[in-house]
Amino acid sequence: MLLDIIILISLLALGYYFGQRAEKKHYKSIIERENQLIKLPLVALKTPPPIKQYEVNAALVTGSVVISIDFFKKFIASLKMLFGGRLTTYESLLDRARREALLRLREQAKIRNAFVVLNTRIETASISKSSGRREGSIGSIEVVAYGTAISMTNRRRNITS
Amino acid sequence: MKYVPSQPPEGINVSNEHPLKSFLILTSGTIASIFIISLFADFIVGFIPVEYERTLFKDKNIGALMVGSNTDTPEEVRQYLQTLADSLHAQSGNEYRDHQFKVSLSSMSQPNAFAAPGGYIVVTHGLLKSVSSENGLAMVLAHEIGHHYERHPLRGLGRGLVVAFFLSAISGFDVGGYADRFVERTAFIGQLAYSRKQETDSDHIAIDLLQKKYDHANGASEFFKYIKNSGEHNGEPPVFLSTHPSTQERLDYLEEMERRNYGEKKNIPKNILDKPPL
Repeated sequence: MLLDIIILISLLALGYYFGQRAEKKHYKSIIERENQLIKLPLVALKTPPPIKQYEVNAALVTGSVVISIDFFKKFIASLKMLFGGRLTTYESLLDRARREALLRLREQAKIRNAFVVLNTRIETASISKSSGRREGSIGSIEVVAYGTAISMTNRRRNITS
Repeated sequence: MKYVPSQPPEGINVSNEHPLKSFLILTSGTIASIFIISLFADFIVGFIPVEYERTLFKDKNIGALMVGSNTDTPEEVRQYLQTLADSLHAQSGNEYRDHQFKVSLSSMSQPNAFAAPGGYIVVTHGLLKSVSSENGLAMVLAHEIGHHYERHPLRGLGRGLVVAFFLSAISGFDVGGYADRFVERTAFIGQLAYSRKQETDSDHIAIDLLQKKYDHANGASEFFKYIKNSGEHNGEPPVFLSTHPSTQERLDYLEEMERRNYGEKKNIPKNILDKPPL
């Protein structure tokens, strides 16, 4: 019994230390890269703004990320199941995943020389739902962001009408 | 439409509550709720009729499950133990008339005895070997009867049920099962602390029954002395101690009672002692 408590506490300490460290590091890199890619707008508009003179290319771009929860976050979340309230430990996890996915989307769009990504959508999936020991357990999440990257060609449009 | 590159400020989608703060609040909240609910469970148990408890556990000898060994008892031994328990029970007052006991012998060689919900009492073969008189054996039986009078087995189960509720509430979410364990442990620590008072209460009842049956209390400390000595001899306390705290205080009390009410001890019949467990 004492051994179990020791194992539990050390797992919590490990989860807390590495989880917080990873989170801090990740946020630092997210903010840095967001500032680098800030000039490329991601919009949820479905139709492109009118560009008369040039032909444009449209291509699907996606960004996807999978993040796992740490033991400490999970422990807190399972206790929260009793009392209710905001799952603060999951909020930062999902925030990181969303922003990372959008960043990867932006990076793909950048490669395509896009000047805008249209119809940007974000989706979340929990990927360990069926692999968990118990039903409904959430261990890690995947966030997918996708959209239509619009880039310009050098060809002028033939305006006949 | 014009695109102005800018970032929204940090911390809108994320609460900036410190995770350690929520950890502290949640763990202390869990411990407190278990404590309060188990107090409540304890209160209810006193109102459950003995007959109801008996019907509930009619077909389940939880005692046997607890011991985890064979409890098929040789008929002679069973009868002897049953008669002894019944004769002790007969000494009690009217308020305990509803109780009925079923005694069985476990083949386990460690000296121990259990009271399980439903009126079950399990005595191990090791216990029979460790006492030197019928009085010593009767004391242990009377002690377990005392647990039943005070409804301790059901009380323990009542808390178990409360814990089970918490476990199922948590288990919908947890993968590692560690939150379950955490909750379980907390409840267990509370139970252990509670047991000390329960043991003392049962001792008082047992001494009373013993004295009424034999007109003296000699032999009461026999088994507990044996446990203490064997513990000192082996350098480690036997299993019994983890569930039955055998303090010096307790031994002193029993020896004092023996001295005050001295009398001749009876022997356990030889055919019972020599009978091997099934």
